[in-house]
Amino acid sequence: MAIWAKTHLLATSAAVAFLVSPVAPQIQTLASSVLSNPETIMLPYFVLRSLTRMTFAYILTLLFGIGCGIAFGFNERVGKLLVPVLDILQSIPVLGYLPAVLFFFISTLGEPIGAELASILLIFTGMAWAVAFGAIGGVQMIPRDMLEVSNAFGARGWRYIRHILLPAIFPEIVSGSILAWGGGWYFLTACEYLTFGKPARTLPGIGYYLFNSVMVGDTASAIFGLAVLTGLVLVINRLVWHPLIDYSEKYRFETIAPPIVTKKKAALPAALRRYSKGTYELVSRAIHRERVYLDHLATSHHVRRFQLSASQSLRRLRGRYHHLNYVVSLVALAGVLITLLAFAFRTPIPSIRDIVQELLSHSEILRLPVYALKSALRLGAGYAIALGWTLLAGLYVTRSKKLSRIFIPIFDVAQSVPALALFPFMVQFIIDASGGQPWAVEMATILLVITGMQWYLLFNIIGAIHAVPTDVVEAATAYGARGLAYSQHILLPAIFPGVVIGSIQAWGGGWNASIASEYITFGGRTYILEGLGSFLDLSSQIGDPTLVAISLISMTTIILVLNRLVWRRLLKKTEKFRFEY
Amino acid sequence: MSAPVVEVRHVSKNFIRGEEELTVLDDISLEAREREILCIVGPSGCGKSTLLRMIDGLDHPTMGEILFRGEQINTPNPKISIIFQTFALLPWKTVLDNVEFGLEMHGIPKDRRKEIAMKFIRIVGLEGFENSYPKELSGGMKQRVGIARALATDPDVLLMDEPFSALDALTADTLRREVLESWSDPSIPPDTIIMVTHLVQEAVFMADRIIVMSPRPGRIIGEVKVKLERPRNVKSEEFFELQDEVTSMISQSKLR
Repeated sequence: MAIWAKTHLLATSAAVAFLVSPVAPQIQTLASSVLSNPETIMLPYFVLRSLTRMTFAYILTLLFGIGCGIAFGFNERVGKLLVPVLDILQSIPVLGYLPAVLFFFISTLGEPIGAELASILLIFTGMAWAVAFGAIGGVQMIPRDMLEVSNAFGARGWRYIRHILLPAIFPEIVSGSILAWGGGWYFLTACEYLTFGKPARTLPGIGYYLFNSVMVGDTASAIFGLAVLTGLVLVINRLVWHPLIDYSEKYRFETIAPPIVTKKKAALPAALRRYSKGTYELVSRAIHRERVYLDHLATSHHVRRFQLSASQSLRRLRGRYHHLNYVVSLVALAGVLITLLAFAFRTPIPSIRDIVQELLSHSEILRLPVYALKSALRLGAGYAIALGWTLLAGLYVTRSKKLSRIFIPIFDVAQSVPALALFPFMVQFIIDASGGQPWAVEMATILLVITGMQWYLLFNIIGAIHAVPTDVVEAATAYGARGLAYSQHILLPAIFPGVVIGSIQAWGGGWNASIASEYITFGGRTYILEGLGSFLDLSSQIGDPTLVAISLISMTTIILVLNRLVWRRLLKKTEKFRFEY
Repeated sequence: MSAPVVEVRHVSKNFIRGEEELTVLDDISLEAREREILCIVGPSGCGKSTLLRMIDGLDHPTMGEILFRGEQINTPNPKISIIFQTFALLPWKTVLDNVEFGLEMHGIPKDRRKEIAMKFIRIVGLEGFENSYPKELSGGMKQRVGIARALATDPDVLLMDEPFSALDALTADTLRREVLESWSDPSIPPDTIIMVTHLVQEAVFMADRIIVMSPRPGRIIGEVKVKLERPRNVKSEEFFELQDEVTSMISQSKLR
């Protein structure tokens, strides 16, 4: 056995060496350039700092999420307030608040601690919603008879929390946490290298390393940093989240039909299989686990969001939350923001007259609707492309077990690459390829928007397809639905709710991406595209509290209005398309 | 005795689960004839649903073959319809569209489709609900849609997989009687019904012939002919005797 394993290892490494040898010189130059970067040696320290930041933000997220769950489980009135407030908070483009929060913390607490706290808070705002909504969803899914039984056995108060509530929300918190960490990685890269204000503020971390390498034009180090970051994401997924997913499974109330058992088939000819059995087994087992984990994630996420958004009581709550309340909360938000920002920028708090005067003196405010429209068009273009490819990919990949086994792990790895970190690469690539055409930046921006949108869509679509009950699939087959007819009559309608939910999340991600992508400093040059995002960036550079607040408020308003006019309505329509579990 | 419509010849079915191979069905042979209701009875795990799915071409035997009017079944046949325990209706289609579904898949033009669908909606007593969505219907009404959808394609054989198990006892009873009633009318399809159930009483009430199966692996352990006049009186002595006979077969197989 041991000899066999050794031979096997030798053979494998020989094969790898053979495959790699033609590109070895390039690898050598890249490696030497990575090694000569003085910051490479700091990487372990950077990773530690980034992880610490993420961990603190995650602890806040957990406390917040569990708190929301408990509040919701114990007091209906609190729940009634909580959901609309969370709804507004999660619609806010987090990245837009980054400069404001940063300035505020730095001016109150001083440079290093303030910046650190600001970054943790921002990562928290990127993480919190998935876990909070997961916890609330988990509380909602506690069956009524479960409540009555625990009441009858005298499990009230703390004992109820410990024996019923916490175990019930555990699986939801785990799946929410995975999404939260994904969101956290996305913001981490943005938080560690801030181009807002001059000079750029940095925090030591893997995101900084990556961004800085790109900024100084050290492609080799950038690639290396990206690889380290992606590796880190994958390792944490494997070591923490996969085992937790497996473990949390037994806590779940049975609401979803068990997945169809996959038939294991011989994928390799017998002779080959015997030789490569060791590796093959290892790889296939790893891939299988990955797929199970992803299926689970996609399905449970899809189902959970759905039960939450469509549940009767929540809809009633939302119905009561009138437009007027939205307006009042937005005005209040504006007031708080302006005060905070004034404090942050060390300018006197403007009176209402000052604000009005300022609004009148800045003619560009009149162009805000145009900016908004331009940003929205960019998002629209990105959305159309993202929806197109994810629909095709979703339909294609789920057609057979074999295809999902190949593609879903690839998607998983791809989506754990933080898209923001990739942006400079994309800009450079497109600008180089186009020879510096003006539309090149526009294209790069749309590309970034796509990367901010696509995974929400893809995983919701795959989740929706996997959630089609086996009986319905069989009935459709039995009555002769095949090929195109099957897609048209079964798959597309079944996907519809997933697409709507994915779209809501995608547009949220898209607005965030637009803030990062309309104003780019890169390679010593600044590219500015007219839009809400760049307006926000420019206002925070001037340090004008009113302008920053106005741009933030208008972006938040647009998102809320879009939610109301488009997505809420579509969400209502999806009710008809839901299977009963 | 008329020629068999469906013939199951020495069918075995194995599933591979993880490392081990599981035999679900072991050498099953049976046939269903014209104007016959055949019930397959057995405890859970005896593979009776798998057998039914194979007769519909949704799954394939590991060994043996299944014939419909002498031809091997590989894919779903338009002349065979199926009804599911969970109804399996499409939530985004109205009652009418759900009933039209099979007809649409077989390329029947719109006007004709609607005419046929409405006829069967009337037969199952859902007139006035054709524009409702499944979510707005009770369980019994949903299964009526399932039945109408199955009959609309004018099948020769109707397969029923525990069709009344998800319904409350009273509704189930009413639907059983209605299915028998429409079956006794030769102008309404189908000629042959194959039904899978774990309820002995249901089998004795419905069937002309009962095939009794044992679990793990699924095997046929007996056949009981029911020659009682329809509608059958569930309180008659003969009914009880037949019920006992089937029940003791099942419990003996468990003891072995």
